[in-house]
Formats: sequence, structure tokens, C-alpha cells
Amino acid sequence: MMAMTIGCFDKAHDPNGLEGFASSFRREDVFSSIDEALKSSVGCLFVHVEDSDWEKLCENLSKERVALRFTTSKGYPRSRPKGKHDNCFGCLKPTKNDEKLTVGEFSALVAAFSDINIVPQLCTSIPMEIRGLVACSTVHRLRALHILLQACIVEWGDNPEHGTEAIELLGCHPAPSSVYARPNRVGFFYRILADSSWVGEKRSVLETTITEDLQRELGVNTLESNFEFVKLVREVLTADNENVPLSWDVTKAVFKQLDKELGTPRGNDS
Amino acid sequence: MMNGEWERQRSAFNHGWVKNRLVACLLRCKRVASGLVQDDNAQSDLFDLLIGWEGVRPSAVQVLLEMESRVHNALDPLSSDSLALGEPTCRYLLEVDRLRWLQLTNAEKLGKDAAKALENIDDVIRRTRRRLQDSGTMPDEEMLRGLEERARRLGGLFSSLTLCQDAILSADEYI
Repeated sequence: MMAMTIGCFDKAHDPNGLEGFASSFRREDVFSSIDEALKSSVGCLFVHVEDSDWEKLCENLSKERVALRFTTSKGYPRSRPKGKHDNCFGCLKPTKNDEKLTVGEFSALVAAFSDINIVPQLCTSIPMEIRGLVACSTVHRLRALHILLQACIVEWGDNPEHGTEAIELLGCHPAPSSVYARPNRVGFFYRILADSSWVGEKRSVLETTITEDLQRELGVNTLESNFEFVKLVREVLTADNENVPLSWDVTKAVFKQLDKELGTPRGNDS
Repeated sequence: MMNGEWERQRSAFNHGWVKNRLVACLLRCKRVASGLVQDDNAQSDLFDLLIGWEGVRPSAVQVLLEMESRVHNALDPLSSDSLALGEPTCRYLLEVDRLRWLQLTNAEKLGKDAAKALENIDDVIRRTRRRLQDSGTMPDEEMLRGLEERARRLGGLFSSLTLCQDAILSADEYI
């Protein structure tokens, strides 16, 4: 791996914020302004900045460099990379408050962003070790699957064998299952995965395309460690007709995975 | 209001104005008021910010109104989603998501708390502004601290606000 130096600019110079996380950085790589950071020779910039400085960075960062922006609360939402060269990213986890970045996760970011090959790679996929920390590409299929699966789990809530587990997975009693809109049909999954209406035959030729789309959205190069998605695709593509329900095992496995990544954050009474 | 625009508006108000500008300016003013530093612009910067409140507040109100509307009403699916999956299915999927969001995030209470915090800070901002206008001097430390506490509370609450999904196939999320 070719190494790239990482520098840091924290507008708050906060020992409990980004600058604290970056305390192991060389003193000369901790900058006092965004202009100083831009003029420096470091390949990667970790920054906590106001919008005007971020815009300046996005506008002026050369294409061989990369920037990662941190926030103290909530983390940045998943979004397309910013900047003239699509090389400015937002960290999904905050440096403070609930669900904040851990020291281990920060080290993983440092390790990943020290790799000079990270810049071209980040625009298409996220290395496994920093997944959930940095955003990359659209996940509209995963989002749609999550919404559909929620309703399927509600439908499974009426099942004598799996009902209790289904309600546990949902974490609440969101709605009665609907007799008018029975969501658990592979035809709906096919519509989301293939982005087209159900076809009676030759569905299996789409397996490669669908797999590639899912890999891109999951930010992985292979579905090896996301085998529940492989099962989902196969079950949908080999179903006899579009009204066949998706099996409980696949529904549960994919829902659990997506709910962890895309699900509604749990609130409390405080 | 669609989710993307709501999120942009929430973040611009909360992160861009309350946290980055108001709280930052109040911290400067507190240091001036306590005699720690001399900063000739602090008072006028605070006054300018508080004058600007009337222009910023409506976006916070809009954010809360959209949230309140989602708390009480089912969503109409987008026509593109209805064409692809059928209107009753889309309506049902969005309703399951909305009801789950309501229960898991405690959205109704969060929205009410944020509305109350907005009312509180509105009142204190108006008093502080009047004080600055009338006396032309830096408000005392206690007044500044009161405003800072309310700003931080408002910021914390606005950070925790979320919305349920408003689209199925057209949702634009990134990983």
C-alpha cells in the first residue's frame, strides 16, 4: 500500500472533538485554517469546518487529494461525494454525542485514507473496514427493499410459527397487516431489484446485473459476506410466479441487515 | 415538503445558524462580558444575529410543521411509485413505515419538545434584542447564559428530529 499523509483542521480546536481524535498526528499536519490546510502537501484532509470553508475546500481540492468532513452531532447523511472531483466526503458518525465515532473506527479511517489508491476507489465502493463511516453511492434499491420488508414482516406477524419473532424484529406494533395490499410477493421484490415489471421467463439472465447493482449499493466487491442477498436474488429469480411469498428465513435475514444499516433510529422519552 | 428539502432546511437552521453562528457568537460575548477578552465586534455581531432571527425562524417552524403533519396524517404515495407497485400497496408500505417511525423515534413528543424550545428561545431572543437596542451595552452574563442554554437545548432537539419515508422506489439515499 502506498502511504498518504493525513492532515487535520478542526475549527473548534477541540481536544474532545476531531482534534482530540487526531492527537497522534504530527504537529505540522494539524492546521490552523482551511487555507493553510489547502496549501499544505498532505494528501488527505480530515476537517471539522463551517459551510463556507467546506465550499472552499470542495471548490479547490485537487483531484489527487481527498477530504473527509466530520461533525460533532449526528454525523452527515449519506450523500453523493462533493467537490469538483467527487473527492470530498462526509463521515456518517459524529465525533461527539450518541453513537459517536470510536477510537477504533477513527483508526480504521486513518488506515483506509492513508492508502493513495483510496481516492479513485471511494467513488465506486467503500472498503469493508470503513463501511458505515463514509458514504459513497446511491442505495435506492436497498431503501426500497427495507420499506417493503417492513411490511412483509408485519404480514409475518400473523403467522402462528413466526409471528412472535416478527413483532420482536419490528420492535413495535406498527399496523395491522393489510388484506388489500398483501406486500409479501416476489413480484414486488423483482420490481425493486430488476427495476422492471415481472417477466414470466428468462429472469435468471438478470442475476449478474442485479448482483452488481446490490454490490454497488452495499459498497462491496462481492456478496460473499452478504449471503442473505444472494439467497434473496435467487429466490426471486426462480419463483414460479410473482405471487409466491418470500420465505421467512430470507425475509428475516435481509430485513435484519437492512434495518441495522438503514432503519429508523430508536428514540426515547428523555 | 419532501424529505431531502426538509433535511436540508433542518440542517441549515440547526447546524448552520443555531450551533455555528448563535452559540459561537454567545460564547464570544460571554468572554467579553466576563472581562476575559476585549472584542469590539462581539456586541454588534450578536445584535445582527438577533435581528436576523425573524428571517431564520420561519424555516424552523416549517420543519416542525412538516413533522407534525407526518405525525398525524398518512402520506400520499408518489405517482411514480404507484405506477410501479400499485397505489394501495404504496399507501400501505408508507403507512407501515410511518407508524414504525412514530413508535420507535417517539416523534410526536420530540416534535412537541422542539416546538416548545423554539417558543422559549424566541421569547429570550426578543428580550435580549430589546435590551441591546435600549441600553446599547452588552447583556450581562446571566442573560447570555440563559440564551446559550436555550440555544443548546434547541440544537440538541433539532439534531434528533427525523422523518418517515415519503417515497419507495424514488427514495434517494446513499451508502
